[in-house]
Amino acid sequence: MNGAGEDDGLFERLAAFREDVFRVCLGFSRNAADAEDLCQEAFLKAFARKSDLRHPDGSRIWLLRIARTTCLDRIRREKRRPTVSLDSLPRPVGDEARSDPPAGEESALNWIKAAVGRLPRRQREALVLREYGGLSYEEIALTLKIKPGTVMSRLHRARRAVAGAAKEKGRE
Amino acid sequence: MNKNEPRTALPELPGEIRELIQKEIDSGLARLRAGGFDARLKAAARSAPARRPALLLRRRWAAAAGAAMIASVLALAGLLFYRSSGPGSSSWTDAFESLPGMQTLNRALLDRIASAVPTAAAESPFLRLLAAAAVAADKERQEASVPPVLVPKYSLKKKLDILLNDQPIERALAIIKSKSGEV
Repeated sequence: MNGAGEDDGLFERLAAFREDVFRVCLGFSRNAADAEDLCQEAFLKAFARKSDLRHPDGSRIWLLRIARTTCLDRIRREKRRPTVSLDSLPRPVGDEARSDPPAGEESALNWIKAAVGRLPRRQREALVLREYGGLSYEEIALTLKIKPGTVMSRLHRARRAVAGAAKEKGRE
Repeated sequence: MNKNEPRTALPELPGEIRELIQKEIDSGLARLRAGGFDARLKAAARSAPARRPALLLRRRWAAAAGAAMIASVLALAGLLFYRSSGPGSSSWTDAFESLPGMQTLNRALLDRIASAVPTAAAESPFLRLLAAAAVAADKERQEASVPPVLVPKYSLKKKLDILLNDQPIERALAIIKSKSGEV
């Protein structure tokens, strides 16, 4: 059994990657609130499975893999039971605490989310890990357990699809 | 983003899309840092139940499944053995052999039937029919192959000797022989 001190050590080591995990979750989710929720769920899963972590050097990739699975699970669940995010509802009068982007920017962001969401799953996860997670091709390959060449081809297709959709949108 | 990136750069997303994504990331991270995420995460992690290693679970599950399978095979074998040799019961081959005329039935044939027919079906009408057919075939074979009675051929002197010296069996044989015309 691990002691409390050892658990704390593991927590610190994993928590160092919280922003990386959050960025990936943000790419897969609709907004920051959902991403935070997913990030917490991913960390809880990671702590519950801490005995599966064999090589501490690979903590980041291991954690990102868990985050990706958590996000894909959530997307799958939501497809079966569609939900509405509280953040997408109209803001109550007098709620000034939140710092949401301006309306035009928000609609553009929503459009990007929708365009990314329409991509095939494999292209989508490669694009999210790269553009939101900031991972290198090699790291994406490790996370998805595929070859770097495959990462590049998926990314290329995903970017082309999003850019094509942006052009279409610009013409409208 | 990385020193080891390939030189053949892939086409990037349009600049304005990248900017929007970066803004979204920045505002999300600001929210994360301000919201006391670490404290909540630490509390949640402390209360999270530790899960057993998946590999160990798989090994235990495989061992349990193997043990259950072996136990069920042994139980089945024991049951079959008890049914075939338990008190008050007999195997169907024994029953066959106890039938009249079955002692001479070809053993190899019996073994072949035994392997082809499950023990549980020993009492079935099919097997009774089979046994009757085997009995009939055996009787027919026995009748067809009755060896001719070996009757000694006596000389006239011997015959007279038998008749005169009062040897009843030998005398009877001599009379039969003379009636059947074999002598």
